Amino acid sequence: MTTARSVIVVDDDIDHALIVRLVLSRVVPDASIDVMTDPRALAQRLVEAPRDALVLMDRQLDGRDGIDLLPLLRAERPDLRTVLLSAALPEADRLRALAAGAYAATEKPGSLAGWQRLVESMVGADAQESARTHAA
Amino acid sequence: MVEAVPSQPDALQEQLGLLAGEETLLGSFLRAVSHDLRSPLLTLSLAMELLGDLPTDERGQVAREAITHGLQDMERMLDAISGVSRARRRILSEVPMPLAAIADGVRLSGDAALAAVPLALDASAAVEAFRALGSDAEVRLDSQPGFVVASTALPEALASIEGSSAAALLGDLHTYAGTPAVALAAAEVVLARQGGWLRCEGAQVRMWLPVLGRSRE
Repeated sequence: MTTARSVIVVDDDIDHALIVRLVLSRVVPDASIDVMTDPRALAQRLVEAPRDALVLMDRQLDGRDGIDLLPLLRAERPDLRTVLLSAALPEADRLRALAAGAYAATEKPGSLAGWQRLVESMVGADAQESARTHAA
Repeated sequence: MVEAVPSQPDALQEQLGLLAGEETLLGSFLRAVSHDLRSPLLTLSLAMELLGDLPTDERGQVAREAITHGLQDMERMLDAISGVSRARRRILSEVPMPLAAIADGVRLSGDAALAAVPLALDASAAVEAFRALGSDAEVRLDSQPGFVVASTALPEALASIEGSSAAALLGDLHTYAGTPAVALAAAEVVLARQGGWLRCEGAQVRMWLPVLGRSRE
């Protein structure tokens, strides 16, 4: 199973992005965590993203619907696992995101435990073990 | 006050237009509250959890707990609004099914044959509401022309609700958020979208579920 050595947080809410980085540094301490808060630079930054990175992308980016960005992302970098996140995600939109190429689409967790569950469900056994060891 | 029913077709169209506009406004408002207010709440909740690791004095501890409780309360109320908002956009199955096919864990009583009658709607939200009311709840089935009527007792905390459970919930989030009133309100919205309805009356909830092939008057 592949593990996420690199996690990229894409969110134009700078406060939320930085808090999520802190949270992720707790739940996947071995991973490299990068934050992108400027959606205008998204295309270029993701082209340069490490292979097989896990991309945690907010749905609303500077007024754009992240679902619309997924097909392009998928075409350019099919190796990236892009998880579309939203504060509230209706089932119909979740299905639309999956059809557009998201690896997963879900609501943003509101707790460390929720982020841990999310990341563990997206990455492999090695990372899970590492997170458990560091959380203990 | 009883408002006069418009007698002219133009006036009726105007009223329908206003109603549609208000419906759109309500949908936008519920979506905005569900999503836009939840975003900063998530940031605050995570930040508070991270702060929990840092040493603090008694005053800081009291303040943290107060903030945490406030955030939890806000989340509870936003979840209730989201429940109604989601019900308005829920994907509904178009396959006719009887209650018996989807009501696992719900004790059905009354006219047992009614549980096998194919319904002209997706009744899963109704069943979820019955489940939310508690495993002891017995759901009685009766028939009215064109409908299976499912009813059960409301728990004491909801017994004072009369009429619309959705109106009760959205009108008093402090009391009803985080209770089975959320599932009831969601069921009410979903049933209304499909030609059924739900009403609370006399500490009971009743759901009118249209049966397949009923004539629409």
